[in-house]
Amino acid sequence: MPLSDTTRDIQNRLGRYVRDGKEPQLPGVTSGRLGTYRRLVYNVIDDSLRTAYPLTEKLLSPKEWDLLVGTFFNEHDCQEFQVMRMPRELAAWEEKPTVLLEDHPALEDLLWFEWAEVELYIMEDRPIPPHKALGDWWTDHWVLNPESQILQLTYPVHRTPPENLDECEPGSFFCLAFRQPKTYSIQFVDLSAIWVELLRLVGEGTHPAKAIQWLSEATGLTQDAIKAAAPPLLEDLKERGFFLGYEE
Amino acid sequence: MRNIGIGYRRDFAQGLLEQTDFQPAFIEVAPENWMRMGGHWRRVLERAVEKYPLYCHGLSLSIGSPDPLDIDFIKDLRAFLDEFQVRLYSEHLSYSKSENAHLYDLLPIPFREDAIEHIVQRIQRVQDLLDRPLVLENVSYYTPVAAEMPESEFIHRIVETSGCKLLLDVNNVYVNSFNHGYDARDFIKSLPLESVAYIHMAGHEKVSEDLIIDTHGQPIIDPVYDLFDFTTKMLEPVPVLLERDFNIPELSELKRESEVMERICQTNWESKYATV
Repeated sequence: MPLSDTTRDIQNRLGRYVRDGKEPQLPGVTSGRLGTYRRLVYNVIDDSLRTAYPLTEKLLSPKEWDLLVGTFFNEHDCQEFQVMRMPRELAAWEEKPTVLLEDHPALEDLLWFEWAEVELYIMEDRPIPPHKALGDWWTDHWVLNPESQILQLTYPVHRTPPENLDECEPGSFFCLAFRQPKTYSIQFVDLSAIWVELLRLVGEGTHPAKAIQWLSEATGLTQDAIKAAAPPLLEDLKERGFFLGYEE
Repeated sequence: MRNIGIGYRRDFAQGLLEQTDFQPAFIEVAPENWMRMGGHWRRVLERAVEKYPLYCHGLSLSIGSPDPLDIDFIKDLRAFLDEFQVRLYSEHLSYSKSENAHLYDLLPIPFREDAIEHIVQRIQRVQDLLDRPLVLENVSYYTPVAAEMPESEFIHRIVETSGCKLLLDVNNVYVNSFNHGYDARDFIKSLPLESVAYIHMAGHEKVSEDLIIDTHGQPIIDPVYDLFDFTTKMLEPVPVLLERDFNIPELSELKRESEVMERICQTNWESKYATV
């Protein structure tokens, strides 16, 4: 005997109630007790989102935060079975209240920036190819940290306190985020477009010399100028655990 | 400890590994909190399973849900259980998903005839997919919903018909007996005790004159220890878990609670150890 329509409906109405708070008429319920479920479930969602998005919580007023969380939980069907990964669905949710996006234009960027930190921290280990410490920047292939993301942002959320974000002008900003291989801490590096392109090309397997040639053609800068400017950034990335070495 | 394990929480994960004063018999994790995990916490779990047997207590199976089982999740779960050589996998007799949405908490299943058949079929499917027995916990609930029978009959018939095992959460029995006004000892006597494979113990919080919430955020109170003593007298030796999820105290306090339970087990099961 499959689950009857009656029982299925009762269960779905309880599930719907914990999301929208509109108390249903369910048979055999102890008076005043259904609200306990609504509070318990809402607290799980709210706590998980606060943990993942502490800067967003600072950007918004308490009322705005409640609006964001309440509408998200009510209107969005969470698909992640892991509550720790559920917050990604808030960043990806396209139906955020318009009033919040109008009053806080950096909201979307800030959510993705904060999610990148969580996601990198918990992501499954990715294999790192064999590599050697010594080599030449422009003749050897590079081995870069595969536990990384490049974020393309419209607002500088990676270098601006949340309380100042509403004053920022839109633009084109880039941030490299990666998991430090020894400490597993998440590192962020502010990058200009040309270095993003260099890392993207090399990351996709282009030889560094070819990548420099391509960048030179694309920007009008000489290859020597690009090569001269790159080492401080590359040394910093090496020190911090993004540039891992040279291919063996 | 011979019988008592502990819920392995990130708050003391490192601390437990680095000390020698408190040695639980096993650790238990929610697989959903550790699956698909890399980096720091993956290393911590690898170290933990070198030191302690691992049990898993799931959150997302939603065995009582009106929604279909999530087969991909169950396959991923099996891979995790296999990889970490998990000794026992338990879940909740509740549902946490409806209308294609995860709700991330334990909702009460209506105690109804059709729900029993629905759940029994799902238990058998899950056991086949996991290739291991499923151990289901009696949950705390704050209101019955459209019940056609008492909770004890509902549990009894599901366990008997499906052949699954029972995780007897003694604190949940106490909480439910308070919230719904029944006798906890009579309730325990009515359960299929020969199917009990695992026990959970925890603290709770009384939030009003007529309501206790199962928070796992307080020390175990004496009446729950008394109920545990009563229960273990009727059981063969099984593993026992101390759950503490919030307001987590020093390890020394968790050790003290574990020792109280260990003494009760030793007293009640001493003569039975030789036969198991």
